Amino acid sequence: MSIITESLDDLVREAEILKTRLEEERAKFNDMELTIVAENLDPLPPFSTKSRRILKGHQGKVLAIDWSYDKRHMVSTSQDGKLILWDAFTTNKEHVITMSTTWVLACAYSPSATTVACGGLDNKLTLYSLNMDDDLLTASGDSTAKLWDVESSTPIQTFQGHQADVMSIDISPSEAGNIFVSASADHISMVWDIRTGSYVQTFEGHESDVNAVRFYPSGDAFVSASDDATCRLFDLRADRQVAIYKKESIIFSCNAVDFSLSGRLLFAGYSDYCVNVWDTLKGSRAVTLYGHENRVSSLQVSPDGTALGTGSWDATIRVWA
Amino acid sequence: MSNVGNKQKLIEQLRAEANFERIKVSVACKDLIKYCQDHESGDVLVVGWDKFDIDNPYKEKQICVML
Repeated sequence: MSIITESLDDLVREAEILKTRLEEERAKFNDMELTIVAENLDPLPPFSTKSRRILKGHQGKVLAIDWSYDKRHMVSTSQDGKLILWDAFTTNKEHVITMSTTWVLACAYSPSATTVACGGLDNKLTLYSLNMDDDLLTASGDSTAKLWDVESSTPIQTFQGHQADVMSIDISPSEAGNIFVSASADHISMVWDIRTGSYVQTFEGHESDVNAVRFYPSGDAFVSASDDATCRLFDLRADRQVAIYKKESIIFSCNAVDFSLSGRLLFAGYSDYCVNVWDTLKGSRAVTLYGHENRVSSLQVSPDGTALGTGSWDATIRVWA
Repeated sequence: MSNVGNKQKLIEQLRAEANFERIKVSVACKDLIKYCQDHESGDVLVVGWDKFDIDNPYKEKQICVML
């Protein structure tokens, strides 16, 4: 027994040494912050995006939205237990599906826009489809992410490493989709290799739950949003945080993030009903979008980058363009 | 015993992360900025619809009035 205790102590000590070495290695390459490198860039042109559409129909908090790859349709889920497929141009509801549970926390279109997946507190992943095509990646409150074979409804791979609920995931736009990033209530974001099933990098910094993650369009970095009221940009190749988006006046949690097409704008939805638009490179706030009358729970730029969709606990979805 | 196993796994993971091949932050940042600059002209939310070839599909259409 004492031998095991001793070796366990040794292992704990070795882990601590390695953690220190990891921080030292990261510090060696930390020569400059993003905002300093971007100092001489032209400032952003005036921001002209306005609220153009309000999608009304949900009877409860809107919890998640996703744009279809046709750049026009949108799916949303709500605490009212309904899944709605919208035409964002006309604001028409094309389908309203009643779920077996309220609190449907997540929804997503398949790349071919023929399947809609959603899941919630009933621990089920439900697909509504015209034809089953892809594999599917999910994040869960059981602290794992899972890759599913849709046809057989079985998990292919379980991604274990987080110590608490996995709040959000995003698949890399580069690397042939073999890399994904996860955000967790353990304050950490992790980058995973889908092929090996294990994580390759961990990113710390947030002081509270990480609620959302989104890859920078080049795939070299990702942004995360947290209950600590900040967003942070982490670069994969530099293996560390390269920018932070915060203000003393912003004290409410950030729930959702996305980039404009080029990555220059960072949209972030907060619990104070606002959407803050940040200059990703300069780290400064460009503008604040007001309109929602409750917490902004979800947010996404359309695939062609022409519009921003925001979902809120005020039961509406707004389209900004 | 599984505790020892877990710690060994953690050490393996930490060693891999410590040996990760990094680049300088300034180099990474220059690449992030370059991506933005290369794609900014096609980013409507940045440049605005006025400087764009196509019309904003979400803008209310002007109604033609015959005089």
